Amino acid sequence: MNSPIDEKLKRVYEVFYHDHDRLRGNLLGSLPAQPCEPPLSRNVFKLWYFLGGTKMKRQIVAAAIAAAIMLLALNFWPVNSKDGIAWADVVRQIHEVKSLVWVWNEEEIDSAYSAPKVKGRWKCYYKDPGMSREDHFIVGTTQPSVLPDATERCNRINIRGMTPTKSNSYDLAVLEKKAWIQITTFSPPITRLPTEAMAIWSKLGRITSDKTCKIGHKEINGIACVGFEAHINAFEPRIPMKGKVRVWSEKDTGIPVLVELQYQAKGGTYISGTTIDHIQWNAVLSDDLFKLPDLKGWKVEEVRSSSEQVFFSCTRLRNDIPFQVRRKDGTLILNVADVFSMKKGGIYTTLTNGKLKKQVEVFAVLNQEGRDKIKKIWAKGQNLELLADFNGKSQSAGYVPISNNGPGIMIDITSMNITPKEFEDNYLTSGN
Amino acid sequence: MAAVLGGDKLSYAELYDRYTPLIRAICYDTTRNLTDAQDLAQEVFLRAYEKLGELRDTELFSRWLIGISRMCCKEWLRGHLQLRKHQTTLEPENLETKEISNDGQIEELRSAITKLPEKERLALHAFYLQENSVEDACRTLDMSKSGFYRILDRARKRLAKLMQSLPEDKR
Repeated sequence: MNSPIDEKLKRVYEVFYHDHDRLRGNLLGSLPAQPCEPPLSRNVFKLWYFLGGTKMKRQIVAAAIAAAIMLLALNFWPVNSKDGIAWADVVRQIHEVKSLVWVWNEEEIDSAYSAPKVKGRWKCYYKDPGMSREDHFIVGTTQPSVLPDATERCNRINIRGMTPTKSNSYDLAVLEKKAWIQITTFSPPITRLPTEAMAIWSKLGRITSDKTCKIGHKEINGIACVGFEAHINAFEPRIPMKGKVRVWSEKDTGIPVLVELQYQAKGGTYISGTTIDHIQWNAVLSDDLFKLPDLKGWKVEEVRSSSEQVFFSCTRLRNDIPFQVRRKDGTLILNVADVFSMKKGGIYTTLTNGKLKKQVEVFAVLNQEGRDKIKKIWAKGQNLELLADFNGKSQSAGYVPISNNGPGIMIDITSMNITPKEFEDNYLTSGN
Repeated sequence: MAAVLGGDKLSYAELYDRYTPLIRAICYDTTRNLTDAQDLAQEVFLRAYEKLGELRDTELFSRWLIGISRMCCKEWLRGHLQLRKHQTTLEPENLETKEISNDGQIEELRSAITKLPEKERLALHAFYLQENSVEDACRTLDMSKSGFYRILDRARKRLAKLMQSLPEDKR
């Protein structure tokens, strides 16, 4: 500390000692006889005296205490006290629900200024595991209801009971007194139950938190709700559309109270929508609701079908197989270079009123180039009926699954008169 | 401190000897005039003596004293500004540093100190007026040693920079 500036600073401060003795004498002479007594009333508790240390240390201790208090407050503060629910709470409720009742209103919106017009209304029931029922009510008609005990005019009822090995579907056209009974058996058992009625909830449950935002609070039927909104693509990622999905959930539990789906036209005008209301979460539902009603006097068509699927162990098309997929007019769409692998095959048998129909299909997984070619056809809205050829002789129909972004195509090989196992033996290899 | 509270003025004189230069330096930062700074420091010690009974922790005497000096400085400045409003003849330069040394460089340095942030100014005052004792300075300012060194170093660097920015003849 003996730099030139240090020396100068010492000299700077010398001046403050000037005249010190005289000033001290003056002060001592002017002091009162005694300083004042400490006021008793100001004996205030001061935390700082106990903490001690420097100012910085005290500030650190104070900050630590404040942080600890905040953490404690956050820990013990009831999360759902105000609008503490997050999208994750809504998803949890959807995943944990055991039985549900809701009304699905399909709406048509003529213009941005007119009120939505209800096209159709379904009352839906779901009971775990895999039991569902949808009652379609007539909108804007004076036709009498055929179901004697129905309080509303109902024209169609669909009941499904699904297990991993079997599906019972009863489709009843109530006004025409027609019933279609379809019983399907699955081999091997299916892993995911395709419960149609639950599709809406499955799709909502798959929306991730990062794709939603809170939009505010609203009281619906006397229930305080918090709103969440997501782009319609988060709800239906495979179908390119514009629009939004809104879910209003109970602010304390996250249970959905109202769901609104709105689809937009290219110009941004809302053209159609769906409102899901009258939701009863974990409602008590009798099993009788999902049973086939008495069909005496009804015209009944029964279809029994079975699906037997086999996953191939050899998945590569052999090099000498002249595989091609063409349009009906002969234009080449895909060849062997577009196929990544052959994944599985299945035999689908249908027995309709004593008439047996058997269909054999194989599923080809396409590489990116192949998928792009299929996507192009799909985007142009062209006829997707294709002809696939594995042996240069036979022609079989192939089709692209409904989900156009899927990884491949189903090919009907019924005309080849072979089983999926024989297909694997004759056309596939394990090599690259 | 107990003796002072009992009316022992000589004990208070010891405290006066120890802290007056520091308080004068603090007052000088406001008055920029040694005579006014001396008068203001007298006022600070007089007020401190009168209110000594209110001081709970005698260990904090120096901090308390600095607090009183700050308050006195504010009062002085307020009074001085009001005076300036009414005395139109009083030029703004009246608040500028009056030379108290024949050495121009020392005066420039003293003027430069008044331009430093308060924390750095206090660190310089405490260090150079307490016989370069870091322990005493730290106790006076209620700071940790590392914190004090950091601020002192920053003050000295800033001061050197200020001095460098002066014209050649004034350095």
